[in-house]
Amino acid sequence: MTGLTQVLNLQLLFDLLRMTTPILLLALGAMITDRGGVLNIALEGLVLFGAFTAVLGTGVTGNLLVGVLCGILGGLLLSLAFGWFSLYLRGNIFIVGLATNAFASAVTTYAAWLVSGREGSLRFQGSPTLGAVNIPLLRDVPFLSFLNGHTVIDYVAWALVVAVSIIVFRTRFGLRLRAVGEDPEAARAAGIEVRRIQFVAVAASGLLAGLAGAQLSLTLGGFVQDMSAGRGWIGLVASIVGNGTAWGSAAASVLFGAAEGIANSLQITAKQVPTQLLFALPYVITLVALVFGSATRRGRGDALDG
Amino acid sequence: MSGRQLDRLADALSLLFTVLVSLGAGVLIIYLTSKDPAGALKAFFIGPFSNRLFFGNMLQAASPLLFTGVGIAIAFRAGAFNLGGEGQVYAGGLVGTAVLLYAPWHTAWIIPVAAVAAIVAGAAFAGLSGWLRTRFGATEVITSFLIGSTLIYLFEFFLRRYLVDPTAGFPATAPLAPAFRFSRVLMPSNLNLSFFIGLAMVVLVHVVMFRTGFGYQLRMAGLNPRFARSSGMPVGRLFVIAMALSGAFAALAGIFAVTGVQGRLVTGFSANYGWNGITVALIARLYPLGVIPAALLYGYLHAGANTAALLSDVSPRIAAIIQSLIFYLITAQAIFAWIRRGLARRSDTSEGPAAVLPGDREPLE
Repeated sequence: MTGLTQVLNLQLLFDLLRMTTPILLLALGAMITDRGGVLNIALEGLVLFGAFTAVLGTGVTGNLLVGVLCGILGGLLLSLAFGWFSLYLRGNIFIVGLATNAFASAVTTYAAWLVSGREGSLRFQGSPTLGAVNIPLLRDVPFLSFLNGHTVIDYVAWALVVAVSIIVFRTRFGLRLRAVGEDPEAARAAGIEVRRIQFVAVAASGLLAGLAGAQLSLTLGGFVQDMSAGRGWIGLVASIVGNGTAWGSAAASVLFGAAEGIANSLQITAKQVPTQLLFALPYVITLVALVFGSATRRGRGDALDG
Repeated sequence: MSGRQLDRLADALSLLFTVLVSLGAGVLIIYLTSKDPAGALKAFFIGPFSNRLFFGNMLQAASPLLFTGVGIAIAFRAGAFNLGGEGQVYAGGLVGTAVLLYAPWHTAWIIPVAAVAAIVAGAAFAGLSGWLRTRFGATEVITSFLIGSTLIYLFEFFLRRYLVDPTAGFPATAPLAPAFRFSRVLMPSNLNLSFFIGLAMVVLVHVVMFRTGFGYQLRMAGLNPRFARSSGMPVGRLFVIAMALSGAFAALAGIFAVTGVQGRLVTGFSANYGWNGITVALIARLYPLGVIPAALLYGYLHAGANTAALLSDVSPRIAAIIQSLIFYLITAQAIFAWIRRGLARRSDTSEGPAAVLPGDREPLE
């Protein structure tokens, strides 16, 4: 019953959930902005910046809660810059998104060097790391034990799937957001302030990306240069493949989380497979999923093709 | 002045504003973080002109950006967002160097062969993104990034597994034969033939874009795809060709960085050539000839940060911060509109800034 294979499978499921969380949070952020007609290229920079401010906040205060809040705040602040430059200064949304990524990468590296004197990483001595939560009931159920022992953010992420789904599809704001995304001209004619709705959507994606960043860096206990490693882009694709729904995005995130999980475990178990190819694996799987998702979407009548 | 001339003036001034604000932020950061701000700032601004070494290196820092910048200008003009330039630079460097390493004859005539091989690689991977867009509707904004990132890992894999020289002590190939290296100008700096090839390429692209039917079709396909399609232009094919061309130029930047400066293929050799090419093209307002001053500006920022790091306590990363701020502001139409209003007279009408990118849905009010 409790053979070695089953233990391994549960461990695999456990890792899968862990790898999914940051992608899931980013996919939810991408889904919100995408529904409002903003293809959010900036997510990669937002999550990176959040990861940095989370480590900084935790290191300075020694308090994890403050650290997580700093991560969320960091993602939010940079998303406000992204929204302001693109929506109010009317910069090209893709270019300002790339600028956000470039800025986050440059500033975090520079600031890490200023604080620690080292290039490329930031770690505070004795700074706490985000630990596992023990849920007594789950722990004891044999088939569900993989659900136990995750971080608070892992559980919050799945609660947010429900929350985002309700906000986008069951509230007045969600209705306006979708109206803006589907036809901005019509929305404007109906008296909706298109730019403000999009700005709020971008800010929401900043909160989610900041939380994703906190999960990345605080479970590791430090910041590493460019540690977001493409997750912003992968989250973006997850929301597209997930067809713009929260549960669809979640399902796609699990797929991409599995790709990362497999790449990670192969790195440990199959030493003969070159690490560079394993690092490339999530990108290739994401690309294939995007092309497949776009092709099937197109078959249903071209409506969503920009 | 006519309305159109005022537009141009406002565009130039908004460009100046963008660069000055970004530089100002850089100065502020240096001022706040350096122990010797005066010395650091002097090294940053004057340093690149202080001797032959720094001056030549400044020009050389611009030369890969001539290639990547002009390539991005072609893609953006045709309405194609190529965000995989960084990976295409590595693909070009890898394939071109492999040709040079395995060439049986050590004569300079092999270099064009290697350049063509690099072009094929860069064009194929960039063109793939274009094709995925036209065939399956998968947006090139994301696919080009994903393919580009994959290429960087593939580059590292092939370099470390097949091409590496174990005696080098770090992931790099053996040095190329002397015949495969570009001759240097302004010794002891890095400046070499690739800078002048880049200038020639920029002029060539300018002529093709603005003096040929093909160039006209490319520009029309980007500016007004519906009009282009209804007048019989192959819009989809032009899209793929524009992507492929920009990939080809990125790949040339890669192989010429090897034959010009490094003399061997080195891990992580591209100093953001692909990404900076995007900003350079935007500073140039997508005019090929404008790529020359834009690339020189970037060469100056790069060289300034490097001399400041050499002569004082500033990190060379300061250049990346200034460049990202330019990136933020460079497409902001509000800055143009604001300056244009200041210049306005009652009679004239504005047609908006010079180059409008795809994705800018809102016209200027």
